[in-house]
Amino acid sequence: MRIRIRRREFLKVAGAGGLALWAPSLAGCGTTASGPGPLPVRSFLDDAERATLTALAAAVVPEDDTVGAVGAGAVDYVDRLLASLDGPSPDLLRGGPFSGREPWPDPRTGEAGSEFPDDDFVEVVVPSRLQEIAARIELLGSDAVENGSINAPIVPKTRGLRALYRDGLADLERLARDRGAADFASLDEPARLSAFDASDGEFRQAVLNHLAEGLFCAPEYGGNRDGVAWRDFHWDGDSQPLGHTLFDPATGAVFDRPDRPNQSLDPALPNDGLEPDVERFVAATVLGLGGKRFF
Amino acid sequence: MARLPSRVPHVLGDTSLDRFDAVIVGSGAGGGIAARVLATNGLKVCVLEAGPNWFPGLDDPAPGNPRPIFANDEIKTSVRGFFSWQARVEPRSFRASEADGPRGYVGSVNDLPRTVGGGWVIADMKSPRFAEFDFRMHSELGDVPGASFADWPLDYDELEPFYAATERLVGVQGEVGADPFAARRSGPYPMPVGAPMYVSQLLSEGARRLGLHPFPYPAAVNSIPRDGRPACNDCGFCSGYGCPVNAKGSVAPLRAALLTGNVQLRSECKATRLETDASGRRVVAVHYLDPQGRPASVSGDRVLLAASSIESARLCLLSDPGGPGLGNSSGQLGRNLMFHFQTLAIGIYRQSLHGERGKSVSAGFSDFRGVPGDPDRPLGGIVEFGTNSEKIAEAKNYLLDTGQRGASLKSFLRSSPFGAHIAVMTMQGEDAPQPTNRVDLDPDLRDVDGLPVSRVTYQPHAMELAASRFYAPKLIDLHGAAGAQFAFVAPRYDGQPAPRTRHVLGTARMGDDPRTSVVDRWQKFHDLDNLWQVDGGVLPTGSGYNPTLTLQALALRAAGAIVDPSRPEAVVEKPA
Repeated sequence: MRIRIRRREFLKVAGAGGLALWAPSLAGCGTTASGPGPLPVRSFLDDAERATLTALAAAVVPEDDTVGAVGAGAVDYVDRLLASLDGPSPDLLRGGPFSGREPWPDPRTGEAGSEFPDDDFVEVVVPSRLQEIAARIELLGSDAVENGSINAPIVPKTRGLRALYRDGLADLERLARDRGAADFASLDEPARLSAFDASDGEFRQAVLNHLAEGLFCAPEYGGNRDGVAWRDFHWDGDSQPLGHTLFDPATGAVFDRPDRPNQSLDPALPNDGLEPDVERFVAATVLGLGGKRFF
Repeated sequence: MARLPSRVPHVLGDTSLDRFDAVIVGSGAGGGIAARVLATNGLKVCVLEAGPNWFPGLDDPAPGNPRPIFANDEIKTSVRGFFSWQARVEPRSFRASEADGPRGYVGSVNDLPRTVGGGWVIADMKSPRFAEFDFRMHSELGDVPGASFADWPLDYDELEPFYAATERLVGVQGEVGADPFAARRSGPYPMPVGAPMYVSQLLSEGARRLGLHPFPYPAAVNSIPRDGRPACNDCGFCSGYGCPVNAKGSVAPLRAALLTGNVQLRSECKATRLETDASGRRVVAVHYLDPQGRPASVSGDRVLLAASSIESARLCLLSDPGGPGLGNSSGQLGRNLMFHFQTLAIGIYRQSLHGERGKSVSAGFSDFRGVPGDPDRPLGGIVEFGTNSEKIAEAKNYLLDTGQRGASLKSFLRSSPFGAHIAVMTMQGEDAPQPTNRVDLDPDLRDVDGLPVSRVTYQPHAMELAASRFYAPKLIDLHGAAGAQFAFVAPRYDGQPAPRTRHVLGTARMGDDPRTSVVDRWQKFHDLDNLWQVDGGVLPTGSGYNPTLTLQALALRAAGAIVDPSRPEAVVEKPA
């Protein structure tokens, strides 16, 4: 097991007499030590590419009374993903178990306490050999890795996300010029979506996946700024170490969090069905699959 | 005295051990519990695990260990494959039948996670026992055309003490008597059941209205502090996720094994070949690639395969290049591959069901498991009451599967029809064993280390298709009785690509006759003197219940018999 040494513990231990004290808690782990200081935010896209991707993200997941992909930081999420191999260790998997967004239970009552754990999600977990090879193929393409294209042509070579984005974003600009626009961002949103539909299928799929991820990821990955999308779309996000079921240490009684009931209806959530256009879509889909509408 | 914890990278347990009574390939549900039995009885054990270790402190005797680095993190876990098999570097191929040619699909095929603790780390730990009749399906059904039903070489009563011991060692919560169809028990569950989720209560009420018998789902998750682990606090990221607070019993037996000081676990070590002596009856070395990908080997007096149905079969095939496979004089190795034929009934409700709170599944019913030979009650499987807890997966559904963009996408995200408002019932239908459903080596494809990869040939039998058709409308009506606005059955697996279940069974059938089975009643290979298998591969038939508790009880029994063939039940629960 390999986990990056945590900066705060590095500092704590260094202050207490040096790294040797670290060894016992690194049981069975290979490690990459990181010095103190924030993780650098890396970037792969240039300004023009970011502008194209921003214009695309704004059209696919627009801002209204709820946050859109741009406001959530999905472009930053994508850029960080594309740059994730540039550091000393791939920055793809973040630490755990806690984010510090939720408190420890109060040891006397079991209810939400006032102590919060540190944010482990800011730490980087070093991947295994095979995980790292897979990540390199994903980002850089199968030819960038020894034996990465071993099954070609039965399994087509992987182009890699970096090339996919570089070419795909350039292609959107070309499609915009073909439509008589100065650049992609100056197209209106329907025209951007139509140009996007005409772009490379693999690129399209990557963008859609990554916008969903950038919208709803843990904020430490660069998107979902401050958890805005979780709030706007009524989703709890990570809940440890408090969780949803609380325990009274004195009596052993089990009870729900008052703010997020687990065992019963939550009156604070939307409980009045689907919006009309969504309901029509669902009805058609369900009946088309041989299902039933009960009311 | 062993010095614990280990300070050597990629090694857990006693790093000074260099002579082993047993080598176990795989540290999952079966390998972990087998290691516990052997190590607590004084045998020196080397465990090889292909995946990395995400349980720092697993071998540290100090309280509060291990301190897993799992989290409520969908990116790390589901999107970027923290636990996953990496199909880009180790693909599998799939075809429905030989008529498809060499393969119909290449990529991820029924992969089980690759990590210390195996697939049991990311399971939500559902742990029902099989029924008594599951052990004698050939006697119950007779010859079924196209299928290879067999009686097990042991009956339920013989396994019952090992079920009970496994429930204690792993820590299972449950309610005795709640399931009228459950098999006989010799004693209580070690723990009471935990908090029921809202969705499970809705569906339970609906089920009762229809005369069905819902019950709290037995699960290997702490409902109270036990065995040095806390009670589950229902964080909501259970199925598909490792437990951030270690309330699951996933690695409880493995930790106990490591703390004996008799075990050395080597992680990120991928077994590549079993080497036999000149007689061909003894395994003399297990060859593997070390964490840097360099060739290495380890020897022990015995070898226990616990790499899962597909990978254990692959290892036997890789060990006999050009031949039929190690241990395959019967021709049955790799055959009778079974999944559970899942029927997914999806209900959409007006109210929010908040599936991100709770342990994924907290209730279900077994009325639809059926009765052998009764046409009014065909053999389906246990039904789980679940929901959705993944927000990114939901958004991808709207963006990629239904093609929403712009303002209409926002309506979907706000309404959350396939997220907040969805309840999912999953029937784990029994998959009839078929000799033509099998694992072999793909003739052309290699993994990134140059090794041939597994090829799965599989298509469902008419039996499970008929059971699914029979019960599907009843599941839809159950949603109606529970208050759903809409309900439908997800389009059935139609042959391509592979079914997506993680219940992967068979390929090394257990039996008394060496002509028709791969391992004997004690799970030793008929063809070899020192090779056993202790994973789901040995199951002759797959039942319609979640299989892990059963494969663990079998592994416990097999390991107990290695220690004391005359009284295996007496040696399997020694303290660490």
